[in-house]
Amino acid sequence: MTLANPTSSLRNYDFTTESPALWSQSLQKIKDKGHVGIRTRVYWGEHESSRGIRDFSKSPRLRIERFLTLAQDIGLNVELEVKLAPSREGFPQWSHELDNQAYVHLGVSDPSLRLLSTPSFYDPDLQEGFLEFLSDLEGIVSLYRYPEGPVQGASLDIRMFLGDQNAFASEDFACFLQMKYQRISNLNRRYQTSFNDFSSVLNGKGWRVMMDRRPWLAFYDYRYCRHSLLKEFRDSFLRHEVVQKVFGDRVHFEVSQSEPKFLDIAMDPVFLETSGAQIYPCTPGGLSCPAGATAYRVWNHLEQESKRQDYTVGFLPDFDSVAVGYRPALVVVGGAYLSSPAFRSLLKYVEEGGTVAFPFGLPKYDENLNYHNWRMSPGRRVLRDQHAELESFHAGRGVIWTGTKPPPVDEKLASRLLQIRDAVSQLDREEQ
Amino acid sequence: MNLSERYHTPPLSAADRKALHLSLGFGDFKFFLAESVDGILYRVSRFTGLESKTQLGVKSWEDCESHRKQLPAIYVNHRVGFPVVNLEARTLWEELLPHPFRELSASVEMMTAPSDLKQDFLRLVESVKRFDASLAQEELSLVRFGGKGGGCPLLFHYFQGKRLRVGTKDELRVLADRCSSGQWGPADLEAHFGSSVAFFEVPLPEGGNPLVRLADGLSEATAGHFQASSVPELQL
Repeated sequence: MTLANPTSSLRNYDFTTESPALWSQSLQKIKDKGHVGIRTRVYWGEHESSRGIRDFSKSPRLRIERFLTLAQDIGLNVELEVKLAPSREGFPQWSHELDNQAYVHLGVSDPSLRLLSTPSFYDPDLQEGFLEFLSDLEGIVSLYRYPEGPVQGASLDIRMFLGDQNAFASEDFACFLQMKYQRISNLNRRYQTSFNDFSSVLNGKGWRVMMDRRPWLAFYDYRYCRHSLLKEFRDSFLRHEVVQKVFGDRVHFEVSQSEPKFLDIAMDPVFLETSGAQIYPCTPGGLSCPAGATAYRVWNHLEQESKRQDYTVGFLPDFDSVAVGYRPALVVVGGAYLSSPAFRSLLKYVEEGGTVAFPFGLPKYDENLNYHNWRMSPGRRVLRDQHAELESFHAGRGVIWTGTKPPPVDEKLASRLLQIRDAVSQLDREEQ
Repeated sequence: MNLSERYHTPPLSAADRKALHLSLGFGDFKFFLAESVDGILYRVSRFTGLESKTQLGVKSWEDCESHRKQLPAIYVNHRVGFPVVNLEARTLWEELLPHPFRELSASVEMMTAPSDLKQDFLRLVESVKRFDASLAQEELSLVRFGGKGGGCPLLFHYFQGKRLRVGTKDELRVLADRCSSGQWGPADLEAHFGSSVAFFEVPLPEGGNPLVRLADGLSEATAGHFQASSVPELQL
């Protein structure tokens, strides 16, 4: 077991949630535990009660200068994290009335299916107000930067917008759709629709039609355009002088990459969203979709059963695709489509000797409707029981099992998928 | 020190929220819940207190009826896509009640089995409204819900009838204990906070349906609270 070195770690400490009378005592405790510094959050909404009226010194709880001085006196470094968060503290009250609103899931405190309407990063008014706030913040923080002060750096976290279910609110959304398809006829061909132009896709029921025609592709395109849009806005936001001054290039919008891990069951994530530790259905524009509902229900079941039956479940393509030594088969839950990165990971895994089972059938198409080439040759083995049937194929040094009769989606799904995994793993071992 | 700073409380953490929900009596309530959007079933769960287990084999409300056995069941349908709520417009009880009760309202399409469960819920909605109105008349209210150990005492802050925040911190438990036992009266609370403070104790006897218990407890608390600057003696 490796223990983290406490002297090299930063401790999270939100000064605004604690009584100012206790700051000194708390900071000293942190120092005494061997930490070299703290990471503390700055919430825009807390400091701006009315538009343009900002409080960094009047309310004792918000006196950031006093706090930074205390940290310096005690000998702690400070990392500031400005976080746009879907909470009362995250945004000033005036911004809740702006026209452009993002829809985000409520997070761990609320497992309901509801979406929370919050100000959108794509609203020009919001950005203008936020830049003014940053300008004021910079006026203070610049006096406390290392080496004169304790502030080692600052970062901005805009990851909440990665889960925005209303990215259509930005007019630029259609541009990214156009960048992908070039011409509307290409999109119409792919979705079997008859839109006149890209903006009409986002009008009224356009996306509904796309979701009904090709659900997987509509969800993939939504996520692709949303991600591209946020990246574009992040990049243009970074070009503002004040943003550069406060954050340098530390504006986070990517979810931290998790280490690749061994999985027993992997799911296609396109219909699902991650918000903290919670998984929600992806719902572009708040629209419902039967395929999305099924994916959400299956995920909930597999995730809950994983604790009871002691197996690991996660999303493609975040699995350890290095097949070194013996491993039981990886069971993949998905449909006929798979993203290119997921396809590449699985192909690599199989070619290196891994076994993959697709009980619900072999994925055939990627996000551009290109046909997957699994480079398979017939394996002539069949796994059959009263609930499911799979047949095997050789691919590279590995084996692919594909379902010809999928298992029923019911309370025993997790158990059946594990049975399939054990059975195909056993057959592969015998053949070797 | 600014008065609003003296009674600033951090928002409820996940642990606080769990303690609150347990003290509200939802720790042993067993029921089935089916949630759909536009009639498409997104989630069916069997709740045992605050823990839920998903029911993948239940494909419809009719299925739910046969799977629930003797347990109460609630079916909720959001008719026009996923419901969108505004942070500013969220009511007090949306923040306090556990899922799924926090998002139910009289306007949500809902069926229950047995059918009188819906009546229990609507009664709770009314009690909550009245209690919320009582809180809104005060600037500051200390509320303690009954149950083992008094659950999680909360401090509510309203300004001109509009809720600014609700939160908790360790010292509130001590204050609530003193008020409950009669050690502290209105003047003590006022001296502590530097402002008039209403104290509400919501009695929640154990056992039975928590919707009914909470509705009764809130009604009783609404009628019997003390207000720091206006009621001379503690009557609990």
